[in-house]
Amino acid sequence: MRPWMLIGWALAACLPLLLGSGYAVQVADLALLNALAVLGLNFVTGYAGQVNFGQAGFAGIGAYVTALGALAGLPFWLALLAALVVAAGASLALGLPTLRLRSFYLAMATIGFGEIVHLVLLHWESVTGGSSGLRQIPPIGIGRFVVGTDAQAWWVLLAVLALAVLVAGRVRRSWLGRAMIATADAEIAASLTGLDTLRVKLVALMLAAVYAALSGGLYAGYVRYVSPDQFGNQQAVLLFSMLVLGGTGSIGGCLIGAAVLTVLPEALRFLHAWYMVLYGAGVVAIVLFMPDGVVGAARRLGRRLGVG
Amino acid sequence: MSLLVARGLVKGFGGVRALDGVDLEVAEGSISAVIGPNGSGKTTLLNVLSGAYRADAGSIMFAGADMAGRPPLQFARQGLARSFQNIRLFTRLSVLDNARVGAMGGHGPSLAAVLLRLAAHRTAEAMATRRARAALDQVGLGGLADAPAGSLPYAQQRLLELARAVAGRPRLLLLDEPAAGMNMTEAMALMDIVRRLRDGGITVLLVEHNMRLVMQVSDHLTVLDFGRRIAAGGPDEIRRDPAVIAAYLGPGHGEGGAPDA
Repeated sequence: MRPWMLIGWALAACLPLLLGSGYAVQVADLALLNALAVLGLNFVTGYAGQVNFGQAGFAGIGAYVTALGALAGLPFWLALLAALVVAAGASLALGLPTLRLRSFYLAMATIGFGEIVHLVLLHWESVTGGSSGLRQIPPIGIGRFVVGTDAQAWWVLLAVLALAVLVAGRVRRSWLGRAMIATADAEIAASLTGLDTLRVKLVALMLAAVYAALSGGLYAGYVRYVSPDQFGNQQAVLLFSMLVLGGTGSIGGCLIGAAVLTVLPEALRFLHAWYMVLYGAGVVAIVLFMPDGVVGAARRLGRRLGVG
Repeated sequence: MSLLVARGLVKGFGGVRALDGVDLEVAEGSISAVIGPNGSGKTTLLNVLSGAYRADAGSIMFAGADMAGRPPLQFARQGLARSFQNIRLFTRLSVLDNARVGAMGGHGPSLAAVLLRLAAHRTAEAMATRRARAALDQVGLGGLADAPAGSLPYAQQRLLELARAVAGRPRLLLLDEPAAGMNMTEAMALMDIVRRLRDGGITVLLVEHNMRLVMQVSDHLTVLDFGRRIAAGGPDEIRRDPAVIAAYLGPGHGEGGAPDA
């Protein structure tokens, strides 16, 4: 790890001291949770190039399995672990039949998956509580340590995110990361090097699902309330926008995208419904003028300044 | 000994028979070439021989295994590598990483080994890096290892395709117009590389437009016209074959004169 990264994490750890308490820290905590899900999306969409609008669905599975497990009396960490396993299983169920599909068809299939998860959460009332959701979910904790304040949640979530970034970096710098990018850039050439590209895409989707479930499960323990609408297609599109804004294929970009699109709606709350107009226009502008996101634009700017 | 034997290959697209019963043998340790006028089925043949297309009929024996109908992945695992006429590099990866994908193929360690940096991961990375660097040196791209593959000029992108294929230590290397878009000097240098690869134990089958190059480098040629094999043999035989001359120059030119370009 480079020194400036260590400084970045250390500064981030001090954030609750700056923000004081209350609402601002809560928004910051949500940004960390979104960053986890976007980092996961980056494996399958950023590296492996497979459109995935199912990320909110995987987060929903993670949230509900964690909530149900913890409500049934399992230790929080064990419920969360179970959620990761269930989400990984769901990713195989989604990926095996669909990852042979190309672009549009895969996008449609993953939208369908998100819709199915949403509908199951909404209508399987005896288990999920239907539209009123699940309440009084036990908080994040392990052993005797239980997260009590928003600041404590920040530190725990920040530590989890740091681990998630470490894992993402290791995958990227391994044969798996290279295989994912190779599959996206030229699938036929990749398979002619002997790569099983379907398996590579499956691993990428599984990592995405596990990250999403981690995000969802921690969300359930942090907010202590889950309902189907928190994991609908609107959330899936938001996560996708975060990835595109930050820069697909860049770990730093994921963090920036998640932070900006979590904080911005809160900062611009005075715009009311006009925010959605601004958001829509912003997404269009990014796709047109910064197709490789904030990180890509910064890199290009740096190169231009370096040359000129 | 033939490394590759194809018999009666047929491949149609709609009403067109791109391959109409083609036979082909590639002797181990040779440089063989497939030539023919535009649209004679050369690239289709290479796609069928690498599993990119599935033949409608015919058999393919490669390194002792019956490969007809199998996916590209299995051709690769049987020891086949290829380059593409329309370059297909991994443009977001560095030059070295392109070659490392070729070197590793599908033999990467498990996810757990990757995440925990186990010995299996470190050994595999070291092996892939060593083979990739050797392959880059062989094609003369050793100094550009860290450049993004997408930033290379055209001729060097072709060389990188070759390096990626070579890095996997294939038994048979298929090259689809490897010198396309190169000037004569670059093309001659490429053929020197191809010869050295052959001398290093890799059997080569190439499709090439440039007749002068092909005649210089090839031990054996197969000539296609309208999806059929019209001739096969050494360069001197082919040069004198009336059917070949007619196919290249049109009927009425059956006597004398080598096909050129």
